[in-house]
Amino acid sequence: MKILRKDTFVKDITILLLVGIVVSAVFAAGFAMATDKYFAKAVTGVIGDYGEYDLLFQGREELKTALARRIKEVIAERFPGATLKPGITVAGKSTFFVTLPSKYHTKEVFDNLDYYFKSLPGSGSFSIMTEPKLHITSIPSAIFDVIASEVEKLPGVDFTFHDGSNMGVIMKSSKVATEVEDGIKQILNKYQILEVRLEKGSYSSEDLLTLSKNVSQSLIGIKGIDYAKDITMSGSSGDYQYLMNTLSEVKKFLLSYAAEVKVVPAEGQTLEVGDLLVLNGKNEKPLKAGGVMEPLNVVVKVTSVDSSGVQGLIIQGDAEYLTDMSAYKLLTNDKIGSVVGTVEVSSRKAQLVYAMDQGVKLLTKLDQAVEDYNNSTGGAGLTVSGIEKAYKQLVQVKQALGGMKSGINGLTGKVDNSSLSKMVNLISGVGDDLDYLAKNFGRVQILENRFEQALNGLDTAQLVIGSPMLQNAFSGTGGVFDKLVSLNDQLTSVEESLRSRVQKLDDFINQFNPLVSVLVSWRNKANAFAEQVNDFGAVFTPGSENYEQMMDLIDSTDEVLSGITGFDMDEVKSGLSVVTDRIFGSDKVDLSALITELEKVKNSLPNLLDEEIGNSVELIDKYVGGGDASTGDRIQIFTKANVDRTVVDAAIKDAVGDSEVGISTLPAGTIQLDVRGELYKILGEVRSVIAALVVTILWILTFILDHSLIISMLKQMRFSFLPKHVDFRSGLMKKGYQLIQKIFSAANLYAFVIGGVWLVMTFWLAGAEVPYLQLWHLGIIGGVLGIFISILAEKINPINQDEIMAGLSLGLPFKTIMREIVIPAGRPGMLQILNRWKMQLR
Amino acid sequence: MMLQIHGLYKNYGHKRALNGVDLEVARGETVVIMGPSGCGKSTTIRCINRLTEPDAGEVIVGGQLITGLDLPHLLEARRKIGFVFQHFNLIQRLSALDNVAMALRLHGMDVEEANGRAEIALGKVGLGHKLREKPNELSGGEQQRVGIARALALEPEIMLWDEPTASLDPILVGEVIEVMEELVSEGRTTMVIVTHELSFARRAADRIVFMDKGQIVESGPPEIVFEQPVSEIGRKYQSLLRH
Ligand SMILES: Nc1ncnc2c1ncn2[C@@H]1O[C@H](COP(=O)(O)OP(=O)(O)O)[C@@H](O)[C@H]1O
Ligand SMILES: [Mg+2]
Repeated sequence: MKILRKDTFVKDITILLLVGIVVSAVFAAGFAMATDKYFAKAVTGVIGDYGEYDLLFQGREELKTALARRIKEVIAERFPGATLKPGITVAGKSTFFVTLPSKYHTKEVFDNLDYYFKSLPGSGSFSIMTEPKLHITSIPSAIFDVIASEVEKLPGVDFTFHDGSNMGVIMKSSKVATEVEDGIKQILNKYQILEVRLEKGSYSSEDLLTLSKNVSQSLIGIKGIDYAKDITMSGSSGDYQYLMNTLSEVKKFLLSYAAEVKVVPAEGQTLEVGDLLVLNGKNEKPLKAGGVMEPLNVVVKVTSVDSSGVQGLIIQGDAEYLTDMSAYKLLTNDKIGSVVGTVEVSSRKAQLVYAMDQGVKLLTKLDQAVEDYNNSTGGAGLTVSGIEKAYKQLVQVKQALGGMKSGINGLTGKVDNSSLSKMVNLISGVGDDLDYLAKNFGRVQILENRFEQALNGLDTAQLVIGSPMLQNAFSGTGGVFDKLVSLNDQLTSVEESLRSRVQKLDDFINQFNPLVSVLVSWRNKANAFAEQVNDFGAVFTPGSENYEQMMDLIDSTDEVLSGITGFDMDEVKSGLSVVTDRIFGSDKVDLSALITELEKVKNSLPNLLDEEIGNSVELIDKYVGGGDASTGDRIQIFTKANVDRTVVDAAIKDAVGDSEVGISTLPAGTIQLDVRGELYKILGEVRSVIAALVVTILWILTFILDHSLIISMLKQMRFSFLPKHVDFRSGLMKKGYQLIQKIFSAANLYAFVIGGVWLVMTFWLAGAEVPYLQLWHLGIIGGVLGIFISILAEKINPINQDEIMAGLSLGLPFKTIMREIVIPAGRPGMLQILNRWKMQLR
Repeated sequence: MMLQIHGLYKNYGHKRALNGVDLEVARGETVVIMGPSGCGKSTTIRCINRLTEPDAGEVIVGGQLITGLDLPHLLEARRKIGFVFQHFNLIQRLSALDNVAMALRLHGMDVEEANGRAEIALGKVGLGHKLREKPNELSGGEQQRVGIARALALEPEIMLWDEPTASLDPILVGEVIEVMEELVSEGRTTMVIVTHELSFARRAADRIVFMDKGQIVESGPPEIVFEQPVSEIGRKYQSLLRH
């Protein structure tokens, strides 16, 4: 112990450490720099100088002439003045560079490059190299334009363009690169994408679509949120997602239009998804087990089997072809199996068409009825004025009757002839008017009746057109949906006004019905009386039949008159005018326009057979993947970044209906360097990793060659900082102490400390880096590796104890023993090289 | 007195190697230490130049209290105490000459002089013709003679031998014994020799010391201790000699 502390060999080790660390670091850094230089040169060789080229093409070597020819053609046609230069050929791929004159550096050109250079020979592809350029990656396609328009407003930005699913940003100069980058960062930071992670597999893509729409709609209206866009189906992969989105909408539409086939399995029969069933359709020979299926049979594929029953889809034929409902199982090779159940088919398509047809028919009738009534009679108003007229006439009849009665000779019973003939004339005139009145009244009744019928028809039509099933089916399909909704609205208002008119007419009829019937019976009486008087002479002896009849007529005239008098003509009139005005005057419902509309909708319905629907759905399923959400089970909402997350999260959880659902935030996009910057960045990483590699190799070398010898020496000397002998009573404690002594031996401590320090220092000096590792990590790694070396030290670098003993016996100091005996006998390394300066016996 | 050892104790852990050794050796005297294996012979002579540190006791060499020296002085003191090892302990990378000249040079002598003296020392042990050979090119006997020359070159006042022939082939023992006898007969250097070579001991020793269990049990001129031993060990050697 004393020896080591006092001897200057410690200095030797210190020198070894310093020199070792510095040399290693310099070597590692130098090596890394050299590789860096080499690569950088290689990069320039491969992709040209900064801003030199605009487009880099690559394609298979065999077809490079074809590729070059094609590029030349496009250039000649679209970009006169552009130059083409062949690049290197690596690994069977040839490259070409194109430089575009600066007039082609525009958004339009760059956005269309894909189109200009489509289907290049030799699986050729190209990338845009124009500099200075930045990339913004992972922008969902649905918000691309939002971001692009803001980015283009930045002062240093020339234009933006679609580069695959990324946004390319061409800057005006490389000097503004950092400003532009900061600007873009600020723009991106204004927004965020809220990602709601749903339980896996719990939503089909259709459900997911609906849910995500609901979620985004639930957010709008919350205080402080003026912007929430559902971008669930427009992941960063853009067009593909749009296609998926559209396809699942189409599928949704088709399914709601398809015939709904419910299969009721026969006793003991179980059906599985994918089973095929055959039914009798337009086929000539009826189905028979063991036979072979015909093209005109109807075939149903089982699409779902669950607690709600077995559902199917017609994939051959149409629901309307069905002639009976027994379903036979379809076996392989179109063989027909036994009956496995029956089907219940409700063709929504047929229902819809029926409803439309019905609507058109009804509305046409209604229109005609109204027209009729309007043209021929002038409406219910005539009835009222007819009654008024009748009243006046009846008063005259009554007066005439009164006059006649008073003119009767008490003895002879004879009446004054002139008053008699006046009365008869009066009565017959009243009779004609009353006939007309009755006819008019009948028309009102017919109108009411027609209205009533139309109402019932409308109910049915509306039931179909306004049904949630249909509304859902057509939601999101644009034209058809909008038409249906407006149709439904118009039908509703037609129905409402019809209903109120029917009510009014009903009231009118109910009020006038008794009156009209009284009038009609009076007229009959009066006619009979007038006839009798005419035929048999006017003898009204009191008690005679004539007299009795006259008295009776007077009575009933009184009765009629009092009935009419109790009737408020003005009120009835104004009530009726409302009815007539609203139907025939300033009414907002234009029935004929509505009819045209309905016919148009009917014609715009797809003229599809159920088999066409079924096969399309199958095809879509194949493409979209069985209806499972291909986007994964997540919803993405694009919002501003400054929204109150607690409120938003609560709203989302509420809309999803799951308070546990995870919500995370994604950036609206990520800035990326251009190709060259990217390459240099990678090169930088490569350099530091290479430096790290070299440093590590040098560590291993120096520890195996040099430090292991020192460690061996320390072990040989059983050097320890702990007291050698401590008196323990228990043998166990003594053993324990010995173990601790062994573990914390000077050799191990040296190995750990020097191992760690060496690695950290060289890493730091060489600028070496290993991803995810910090310097203190490296310190520990170096220490642990040191311990490992320490364990093996005597095997790696054994020390000849005998030689040391000889040295000691000759009175040599420790440092001399090390320099002249131990180190020269050890492995050749840095220690030996340094030692040669001091060694005397070479 | 060239060497005085008083009350020397040494423990290895709980194992007692030396249990109070007292020994005095006069200048020019040749003392042979004998005893069974493990009795503490090596420990005793290694304590003399403190290749092994004694736990207690005094060692005085040429009037200098070795056990009281600090490191620099100890190193200096070791130069006058030659040591010959059982396993020769030559520096493998160095030639015979360098092995012998090494200490001289490292102690400051210039190369010429050191080599000259080394050559003389090697000549003395009969290896004047094998100066350039490396240890692995020499026979065991030759190697041990280089070891002897190395000790001699420093012109020590006292030479300590720890079983110098024990690891040699029997046919090679003779040449080493020969050199030893010659050195003894010169009588210039005080010798403390640990050996089992009975005949050599009888011929060359001024005094035989028997050790047993870390202690000196008998001491006297060979003709007395071999003829009329008093210790148990002595009697054993006596019987060995008779057979
Ligand atoms: N380095 C050592 N560590 C532990 N015990 C030792 C060591 N050297 C010697 N001993 C023990 O001390 C005792 C004396 O040893 P030593 O002096 O070598 O005996 P001798 O040389 O007489 O054969 C022996 O029991 C031996 O086992
Ligand atoms: Mg021994």
